[in-house]
Amino acid sequence: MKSGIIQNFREISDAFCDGLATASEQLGELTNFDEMFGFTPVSIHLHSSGADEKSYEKGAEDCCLLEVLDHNVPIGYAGLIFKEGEARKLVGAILKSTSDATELDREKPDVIAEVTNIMMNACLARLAGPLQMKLAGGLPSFGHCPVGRLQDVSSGSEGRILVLRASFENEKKHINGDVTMAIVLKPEILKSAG
Amino acid sequence: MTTVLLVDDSKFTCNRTIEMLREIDPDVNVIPAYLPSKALELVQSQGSTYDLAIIDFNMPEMNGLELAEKIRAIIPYERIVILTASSAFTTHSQTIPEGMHFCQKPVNEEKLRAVLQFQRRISA
Repeated sequence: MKSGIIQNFREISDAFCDGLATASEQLGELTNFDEMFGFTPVSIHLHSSGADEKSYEKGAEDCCLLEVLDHNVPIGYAGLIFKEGEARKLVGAILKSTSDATELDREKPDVIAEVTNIMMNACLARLAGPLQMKLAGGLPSFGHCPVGRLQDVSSGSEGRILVLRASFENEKKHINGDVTMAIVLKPEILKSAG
Repeated sequence: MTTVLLVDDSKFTCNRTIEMLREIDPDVNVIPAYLPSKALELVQSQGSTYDLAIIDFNMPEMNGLELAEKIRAIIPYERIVILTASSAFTTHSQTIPEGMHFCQKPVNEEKLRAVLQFQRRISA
């Protein structure tokens, strides 16, 4: 079973990287920066519970998540997480605005929600094949990171949770953030991998 | 003058799309609606004035395809373009209805130019 999962993980990892490359192009299109955002996969692993989520979200200021759907049934979430001030910087760059922080904060939920929508769906489109799911993103929701979201999704599930993480950065503009995804896998995927 | 009904719950996307449409054609008149219910009100009261409807797929209240069907029930409208970032169409969790046209987000001038050309082709 282990080698099957590892082989499957390579496909998932490649798909995640492809999705991030598309997301980078699309973010570049929105910002019109000379320099593209660089995406670095941080980790791809299986969890049997969402306990790890709490530590990851600690210290994050802004977060925008959307539900991951398979055949329109929620099976996880995906989104962007920003440290203090980073989301505001991204919004200022996208709007090419020199407005003050209050004005940018007013625009932040709407702009970041659309950025999340575009970027996460690019990743989900690539991941659907290796995960054998008909993945789609739900409506993005902006706010502080909801601790325990993953537990809600995974409760009662026999499957294990695939957690994918990446960081992104535009060195020239000093803007960075994180991508996070958690998807409850169908038990049969793990079995077929073995 | 072309009049466009633009339906998207993202004001950011609406503003960006309006800016680009006006860059392509300064005479274009764009009426934004930020919710499907508002779009239906507009179509019910002045539907025949629109030459084209550009509708986001992923919205609260109902999705873009459901809205397109409701609009078509009010007026038999062929000139509808669905704007989408959703992977639902790539992964086939959502099927593409016959005769419906799609534009992938993020929009840019090239894609919107094609949308306006589509409208003019249908109107010709």
